[in-house]
Amino acid sequence: MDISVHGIHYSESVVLGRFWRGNRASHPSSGTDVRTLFNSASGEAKYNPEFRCEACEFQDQFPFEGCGSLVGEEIGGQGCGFRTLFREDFVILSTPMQTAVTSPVVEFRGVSFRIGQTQVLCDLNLQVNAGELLVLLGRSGSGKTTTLKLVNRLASPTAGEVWVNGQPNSEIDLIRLRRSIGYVIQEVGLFPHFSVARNIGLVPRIEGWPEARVRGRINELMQLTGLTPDIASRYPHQLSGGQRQRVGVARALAADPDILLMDEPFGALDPLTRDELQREFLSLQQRLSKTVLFVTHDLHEAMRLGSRIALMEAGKLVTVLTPVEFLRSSDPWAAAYVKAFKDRLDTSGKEGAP
Amino acid sequence: MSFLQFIIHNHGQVVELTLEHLWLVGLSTLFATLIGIPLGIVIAHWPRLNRPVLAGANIIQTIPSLALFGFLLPVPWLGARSDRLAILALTLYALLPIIRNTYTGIRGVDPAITEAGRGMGLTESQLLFQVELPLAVSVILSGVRTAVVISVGLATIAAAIGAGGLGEFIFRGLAMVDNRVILAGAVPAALLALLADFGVGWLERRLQPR
Repeated sequence: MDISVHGIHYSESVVLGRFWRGNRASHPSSGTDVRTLFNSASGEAKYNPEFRCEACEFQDQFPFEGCGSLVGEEIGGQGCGFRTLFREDFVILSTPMQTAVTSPVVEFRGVSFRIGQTQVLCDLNLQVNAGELLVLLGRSGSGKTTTLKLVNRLASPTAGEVWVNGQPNSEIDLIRLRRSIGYVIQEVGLFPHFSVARNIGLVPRIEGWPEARVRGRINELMQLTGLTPDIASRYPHQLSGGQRQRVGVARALAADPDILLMDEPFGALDPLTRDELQREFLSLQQRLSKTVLFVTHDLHEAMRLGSRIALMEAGKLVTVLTPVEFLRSSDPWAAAYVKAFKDRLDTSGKEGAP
Repeated sequence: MSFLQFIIHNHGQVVELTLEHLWLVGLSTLFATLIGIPLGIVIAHWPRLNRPVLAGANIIQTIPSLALFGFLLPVPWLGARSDRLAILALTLYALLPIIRNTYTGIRGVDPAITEAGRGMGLTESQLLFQVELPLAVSVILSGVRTAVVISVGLATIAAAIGAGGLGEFIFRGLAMVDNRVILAGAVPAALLALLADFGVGWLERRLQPR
């Protein structure tokens, strides 16, 4: 069933998958948020600008997310038929689903990886489609980071093959392969002795771009990632955590790679900055449509950013689900994650019975 | 006649011996740097070579300097001129601090940074020259600094085999039991050591990445 909100049309897959708030840049007023309620019986959507989520930890700062007391409840008077979109604790609003059938850009074929006697990854089979943002979710030591490193060959599988753009990555020239893939890690990855501009221009320069083009590209990327021109000459240690991370993203995008590998890029940030960067990264991703492999251990981040979530545990791929499927999944590991996340929001245990 | 009067009286010779001393120290440090830094880079990247190379440099360091000068005397081309011999011996002594600091400096670069560099497609030589060496430069130079200071002191002993330098005054003074003559060698040598220490320290600060 299709629905329409404020003149923006949502296809069934989007509604079922996730609610799209549109491109904020082009439709500033038409964001769809928790205040938009969806009648599952009639397919009608209703907007209530007054609505605020009482239990939401984000309530005022982030009206685009809701959680808590809304769980599948009817809102707007008993019997009106309007419910929150999802039965679960929170509503995730994010990028549109990629519905088109696309060929995998990155494909793991029976990949195992061991160091000595330690089996880090065991028979991993996974496809990452063009333009999707696949989140690798799992706890420390589950093999997520290794999975990323297998793509740009910072690690080589002990069994199986990783295919990139239709060929085994072991057959692609190592340097070519790596320069065609953007790589973002936690803030430590910036070169401390390079200025911001030099960090961003690194790959274009070693690729031998003419100097004027490199400069143009640096300016373009700084604008794209929300960095003001005056920090171009600063050094990483003179930046805030959020700025450093923006520089990291800008540097990874410099040579316009089709694939981005991101290893907990927002992990070391405070919650407000993280939220801001996630938001901006989403809108950037909507514009650029890179194929992204994103590692995190934070379910909230996974739900918010991912078009699909690959859950890993102890070197094995447990399951691959869309965020909504993930919430409803009966898989014990997925359920454990969802429960842990709900418990984190639930403060009733502390306050005691009224 | 005081020590200062002695120096003023013999200023020609003091200058000449100081220059000789500088020549011995400068050339040997140059050679030790040219050999030691590449060796340090090699052992930082091939850890298997680390033990034998550092052990070798350590063993050289334990040979008493006078004995080393003596050992090298019969070597054909070298033994013919004692300054060559002194330069070789001083080079060997200066190797250890330079190799070890180069190794330590490069190994001390945060592995996350080198991995990020590799992940972005830097070749190994780009990584070395653009990332590892610039980040290790202050540690490497402090090795050079140690080497220079050690060399200035050791070079005085080279006078024992006739290589010249400020050691001439010291040995002469010892033979004559004349403190003024000993000091005429020792004080300029100490000043040289301080000056060299300061000079390389300045270079270290200049080259240090921010």
